[in-house]
Amino acid sequence: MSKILALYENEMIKLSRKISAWILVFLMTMTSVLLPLIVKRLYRNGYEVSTSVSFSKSEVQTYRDSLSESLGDTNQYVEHETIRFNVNSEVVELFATKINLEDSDVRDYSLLSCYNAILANYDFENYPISDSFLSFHALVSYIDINHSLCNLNTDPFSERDNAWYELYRETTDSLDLAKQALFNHDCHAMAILVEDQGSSLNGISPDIWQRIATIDPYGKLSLDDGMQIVDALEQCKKYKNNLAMEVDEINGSYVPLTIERKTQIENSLLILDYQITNNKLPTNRAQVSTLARQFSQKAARFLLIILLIIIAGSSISQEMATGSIKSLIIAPVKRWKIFVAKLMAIFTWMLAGSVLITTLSTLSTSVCLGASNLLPYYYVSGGHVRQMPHIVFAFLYFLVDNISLFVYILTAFMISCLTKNTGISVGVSTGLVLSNGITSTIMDMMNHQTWIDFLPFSNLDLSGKIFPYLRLIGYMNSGEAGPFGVPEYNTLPLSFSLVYLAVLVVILLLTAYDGFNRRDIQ
Amino acid sequence: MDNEEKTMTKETKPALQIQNVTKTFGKKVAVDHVSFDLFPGEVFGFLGPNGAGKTTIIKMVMGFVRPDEGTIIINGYDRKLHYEAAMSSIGGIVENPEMYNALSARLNLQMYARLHKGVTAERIDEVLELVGLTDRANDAVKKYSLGMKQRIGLAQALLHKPKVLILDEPTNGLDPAGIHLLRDILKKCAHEDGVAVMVSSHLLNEMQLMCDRIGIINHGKLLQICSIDDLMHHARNSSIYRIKTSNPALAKDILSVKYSNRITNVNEDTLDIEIEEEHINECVRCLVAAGSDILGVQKLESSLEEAFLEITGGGIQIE
Repeated sequence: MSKILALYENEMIKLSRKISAWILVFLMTMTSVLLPLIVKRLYRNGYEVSTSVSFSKSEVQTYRDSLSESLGDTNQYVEHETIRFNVNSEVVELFATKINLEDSDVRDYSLLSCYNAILANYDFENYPISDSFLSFHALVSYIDINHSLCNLNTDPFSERDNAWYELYRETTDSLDLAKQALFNHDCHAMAILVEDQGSSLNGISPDIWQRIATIDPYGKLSLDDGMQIVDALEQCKKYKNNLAMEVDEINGSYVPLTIERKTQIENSLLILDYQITNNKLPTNRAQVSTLARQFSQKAARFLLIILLIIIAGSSISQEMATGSIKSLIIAPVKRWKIFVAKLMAIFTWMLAGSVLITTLSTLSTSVCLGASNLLPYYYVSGGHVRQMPHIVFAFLYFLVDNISLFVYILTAFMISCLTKNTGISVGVSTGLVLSNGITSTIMDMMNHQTWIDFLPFSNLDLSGKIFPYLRLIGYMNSGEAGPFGVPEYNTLPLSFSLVYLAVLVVILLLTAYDGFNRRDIQ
Repeated sequence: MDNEEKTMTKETKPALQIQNVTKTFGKKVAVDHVSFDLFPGEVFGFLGPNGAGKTTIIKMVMGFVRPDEGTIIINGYDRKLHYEAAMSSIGGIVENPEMYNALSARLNLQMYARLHKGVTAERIDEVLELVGLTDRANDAVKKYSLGMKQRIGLAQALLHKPKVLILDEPTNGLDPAGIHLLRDILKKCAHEDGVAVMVSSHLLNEMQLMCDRIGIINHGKLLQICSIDDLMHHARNSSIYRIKTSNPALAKDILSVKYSNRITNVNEDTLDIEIEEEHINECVRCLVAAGSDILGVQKLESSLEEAFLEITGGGIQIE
């Protein structure tokens, strides 16, 4: 054992003198530190849009004034009335951009009456329209209903029958509800309104409104958070539907549901429900954080793979080429000890590199985008949703990530032992790493044939199998992007992949050892 | 002194025993059932033309090449059974000494020392002093000349005070001063510290100056082991004389009577005869008495090389 440690110490000295290694370490450090900064710059608009639009008191006053001017008489814009007027189109456009409505909606003359009404009474300062989920939707429905009411009012008296009066009564009731929702910030009123209308409003169905009313009765949710909850609830509905029908959806086509998948989907639903109830869904900012961390870690990890392939691919063959292996062979150590010491040195670099990348990218992301935006990982254990702190999760994730790294390194090492040629071993292994990306693209194109799952490539990345609920906190796996998804579709269970990889590793190790041990050194 | 040494080697246990070692590369038999012993306190020269199998034997002893059959016992330990114990008493250089070029000579030695028991920092200074590299010890090895690399290789080989020291072509790239130093170091190791030294070379003069015993190898077979004195003796005593005469046929007839199997060659006007120095007089007298004319008698070059060529089968075969 002491001999192995002595050899290991020597190997570490040799590796520490490699300039190419330190250049790559420098690049890795820069990548993991700088990429979160770049992502922050690129996506700043993505998460700051909701707070950038609001009306100031003076702005509101300006709108009111200009509208009054174009209308001539402010008393004219009363609800339930049909007033035709010419309005300064610039003001309309400005208003439209401010509250994020489609142009065509705003141009409609009847809508303008609603804006006037709102401008007259609504407290824009404390409840900015575009910053509140409830206010925004209440406003839109208020406009809609008012529009219908205006249209009803234009009908000639001769055509007004009982049905008309019934409709008129219903519409005014609805308008009252919309007013209640808009001005009193009452989400229940909104739920009842949508329920009464019987159809979905702005693409959000009544049952989802009811759910939101229970979560957020006083309209405190921001527009973004609200939309997120709607997305999540939609996703829940879809999965519940699939569970009920016992089908699974892959790449748009339906297949029978497996038992493993069923558990995963049920657990995903539990987690989603927990996230929705406790307002723990990934915010835009958190999603950008996740993206930044994932991005920087993946990019730096690619450099690490290259670095380790160079180290592993040259560790035996370079010594053979320069002849320095002789001083190892002459020494009173068995060859397997040299072999083990070399592997130990390489894996020390692998672990050190991974810890460096994970630590730096986590640190950099928390500095750039806020530590609170690094979400914990949710999982289900014993029927309860539990969370794992982000830092614990980050290190577990990097361990899982290292499995594929391990296989690449062993491949490079094995080729190095067999061919005793640094160029071939580094070249072939780098080729394998690069072709892995191409292979997954081809796999996607092949529309998931079963035999593809048995290729080594398909079993290298276990992160999706060990952390199936990654996408619930905004991680993007290969395939579908975006949060709230259930795990990637895997026909083969984790245990199969683990056994498969274990066998692969043993074969690689034995071949490498045989190549190193049995052959003569010339 | 020579006799003393011989008796000493007979009594002591061999430091290195090579028994029936064979190695085949493909169809070619590189080493064919070679056996010999190496005793403490002697410098053993391994002599043979290029491709004779010298380096292969050395590589097998050093553990680079695995023998197909046969046993190698170092300091009493069978290498197959007690690898590390056997290898800890061996040191040497095979072909060119190769170090980690980016590292300094001292660091190279420190790294090598770590793999052996009981090599102190003082010992490292000691061997650096011995090979005369103390001043340059902290330079990277890549800045060294070939001769300096040989020296640092020797320092590494001596670092752990091995019982068996094996040097493959050690004078390669050394300047005359270096060769002299090497010779002194080897003799001191063998005769004072009782190390068994094995040196391979194709330079006979070197061998003559360095070695106590010589093993001659060709085509993978160990042809002969003899002390350097025996070899010289053999070379000195029986030389080839070229007798110039107008009628070599007649001369042959005359000499055949007494030295029938000594005549090696008959040419147009010369006759070669292999004969001891003290017999040449009688030989000439015979010829003169029988009426053959003698135009000249010339002693052909006879040295170690003749003996060597003779033993290896009359010529170096380049393969």
